[in-house]
Amino acid sequence: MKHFPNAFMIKFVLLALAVLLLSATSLRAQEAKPQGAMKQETALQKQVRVVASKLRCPVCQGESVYDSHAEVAVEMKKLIAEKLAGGASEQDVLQYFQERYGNYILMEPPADGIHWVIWAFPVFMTLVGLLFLYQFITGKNQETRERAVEGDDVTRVKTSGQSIEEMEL
Amino acid sequence: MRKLGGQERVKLNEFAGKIVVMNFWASWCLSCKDEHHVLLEAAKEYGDKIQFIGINFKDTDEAANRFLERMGRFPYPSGVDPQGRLGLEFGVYGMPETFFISPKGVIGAKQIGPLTKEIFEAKLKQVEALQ
Repeated sequence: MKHFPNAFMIKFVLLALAVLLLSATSLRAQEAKPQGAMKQETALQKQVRVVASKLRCPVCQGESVYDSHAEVAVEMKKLIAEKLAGGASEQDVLQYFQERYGNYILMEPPADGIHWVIWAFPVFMTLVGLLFLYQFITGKNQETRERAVEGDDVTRVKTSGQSIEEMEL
Repeated sequence: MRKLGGQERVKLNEFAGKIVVMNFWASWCLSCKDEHHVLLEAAKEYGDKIQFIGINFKDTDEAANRFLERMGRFPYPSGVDPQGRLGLEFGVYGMPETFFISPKGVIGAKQIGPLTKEIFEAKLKQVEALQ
């Protein structure tokens, strides 16, 4: 009689574990669904994703057409798909929007004309920063050497006036 | 393009040879209310020398007609662009937007946002200068 509650408890724990295991398996299967959907992306969908990611949503804040759910972005994605399916190249589609909206529509402005400044500026600033860093480090080393020399001189001057007993201390 | 409130067609090439003022508007657009009287007055003043056309953007005929009944009907036709495809063709950012097109079909000026009388006249001068 004493063992009955233990056997019942074991059965209960086993049942609870089975339920948990089933739940976890079900959750994992649900989580796996979007990944499966991603794998089923067609060649056209992939092309649309690539092109739409290079275009800026005209009514959003720094969001690409691909990432945006704004109505205009949704319509743009449809148009991109139609144009690509109709035989237009990725470059043709990008050019189509560039002609209508200007360079602003491109997530990455072209490195030509005045736009090269945008690309060159970070490189220029990095070089300036490195130059300052180099000067700071070499200047600091020089200063440290000079102080070290001064320190040696002082030590020499001090030790010269000390007795042997003091030096041993 | 289908004309608002009917099955008749509006053909943009019919207006070749004249300056065309193409205004994208919608009943759901609050700024369109602000510029509505500007367009009505401009159409009255310049209607004989330039062609006005409205493009009802991503709207329904019912909502658009209610808007026009409340605000005053344009004395010129409006075509409908329910999917916003013509808007994309013109590189429209949002409502309202107005294009000033030269008689040769070149966009000489455009206004993003509501028109005022001063803006309208300045943009008109820009497109006239192209001739």
